[in-house]
Amino acid sequence: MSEQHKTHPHLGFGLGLRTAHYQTILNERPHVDWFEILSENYMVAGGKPLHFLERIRAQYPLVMHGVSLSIGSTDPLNKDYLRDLKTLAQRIEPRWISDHLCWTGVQRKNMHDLLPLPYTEEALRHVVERIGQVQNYLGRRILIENVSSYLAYTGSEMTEWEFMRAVAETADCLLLVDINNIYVSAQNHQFDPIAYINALPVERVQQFHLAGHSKNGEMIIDTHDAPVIDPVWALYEHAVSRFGRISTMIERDDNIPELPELIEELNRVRAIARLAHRELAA
Amino acid sequence: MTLLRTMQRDFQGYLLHPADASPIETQVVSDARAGARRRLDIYAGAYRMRLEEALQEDFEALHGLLGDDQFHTLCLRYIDAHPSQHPSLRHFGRHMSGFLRQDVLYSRQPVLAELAEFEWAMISAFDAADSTVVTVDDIARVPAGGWGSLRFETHASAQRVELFWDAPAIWSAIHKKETPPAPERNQRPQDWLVWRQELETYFRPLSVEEARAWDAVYARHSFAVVCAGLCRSVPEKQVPAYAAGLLRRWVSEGLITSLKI
Repeated sequence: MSEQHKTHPHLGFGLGLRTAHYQTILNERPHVDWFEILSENYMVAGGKPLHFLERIRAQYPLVMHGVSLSIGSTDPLNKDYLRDLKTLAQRIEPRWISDHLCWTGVQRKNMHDLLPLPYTEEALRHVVERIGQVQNYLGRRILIENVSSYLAYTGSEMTEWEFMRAVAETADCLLLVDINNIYVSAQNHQFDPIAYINALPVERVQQFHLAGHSKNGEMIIDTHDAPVIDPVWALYEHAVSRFGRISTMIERDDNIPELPELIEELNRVRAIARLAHRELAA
Repeated sequence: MTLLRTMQRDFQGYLLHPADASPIETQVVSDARAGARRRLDIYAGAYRMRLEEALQEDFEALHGLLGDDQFHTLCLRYIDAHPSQHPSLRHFGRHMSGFLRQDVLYSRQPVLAELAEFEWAMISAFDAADSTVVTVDDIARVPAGGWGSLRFETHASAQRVELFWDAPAIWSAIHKKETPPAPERNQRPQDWLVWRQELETYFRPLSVEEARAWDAVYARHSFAVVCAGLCRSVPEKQVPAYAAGLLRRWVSEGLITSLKI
């Protein structure tokens, strides 16, 4: 397996850093290999967010995960946002920086949602060009994550996984593969999640996300408010067998339990990965 | 205009005004699982819910005073009037006080705008820039001849808020999960200072004299000018001791970040 494209070796198994857990993390130094922060929450001047981040950073590797890069928007890239992102990166020295393959608004408005792109040649050229601008500005390659979606466009010219692969290879960026998002979108659009995973370029996948979701009638909504479900665990197992040792974390943004409960769930991630690696090695 | 740009404008237009007929509907796949409209409405509903959650988090006291139904109505009106223009939700509520002052439904209840102004000042103090602060020892080292021209820098979190209504009392009660007092209006506005010391956010009322002195300090006037201002309401002989007392208090509260002699 080629590791030539990746910017960092396997970090192990992590969690999203959430304010409710700050004190427990500092007091108990739990067995979590790394934390992912939501970049925008720390793009502030001072106070508690940065105070705790500095202390946790001293003890754990961090990666930065953003929601407002809006790489697919037809508005110009937000220079103030990029400046603040770079300033935060210089301050906390994350192992890597990621954001989503989506757009969040146009006409200088922000819908604060990860809105899906049409999978067209036009959108591909647009996204590739902008990832290039961002990578040049930040002086590093970024990871781009697949989003959950509840709609598809009649004008799409390729599948989502073909689009993801083309973006990564043409823009020379890396991928953050959200296993739950693949499952959610596969249910909502009736495609085969295994085909999606099998189509992604192995050498560019640097991180996995796992999360829970909820049902809203016939649709599945990516709410990050529940434990990972069995079909997503099964997909994760398949992803590990295809991509190998990939830094993996659990995202929980709502209905956040005590840290030990998430660590228990993370231990299941470890166990599945360990088993899959053993089978690969056998 | 490119296809992508047009599509994004149409989609966003639908999120902002979902009741209107929109050209985006024909660009979205309908299938047996769900039609285009149903799929678009998931995004339109999530848009409002997410922003309302942000406002609930930032304006807990306003929410408590209005109750769930009225606060929900307020959120919908505010979301329509002030779509977010910042990459972070942290800034979404910044227009709330001004909105409440001007909106036809709320302008006759000025306590609401003042409560929102107070809550926003607390939020602004929470993550304002950190800095080292001046200590009593630093003050003691000011040479005798240096006091007249001495200027101060104040902590970035410090804000003076002028309120006719007893918004801080309402805020305190709601944060303690107690029943808030019935809003009361003072004859004259009361000055309040909101600031953060280390990681904790504080507020307290200011006397007319202290507010005047604080304004002068905040405007980077010299200590001589601060004292001259105090002479308007404090007997001249008592001004040096009075001013020194204020300065000691501000220093002990972490409000002064540097001295310029």
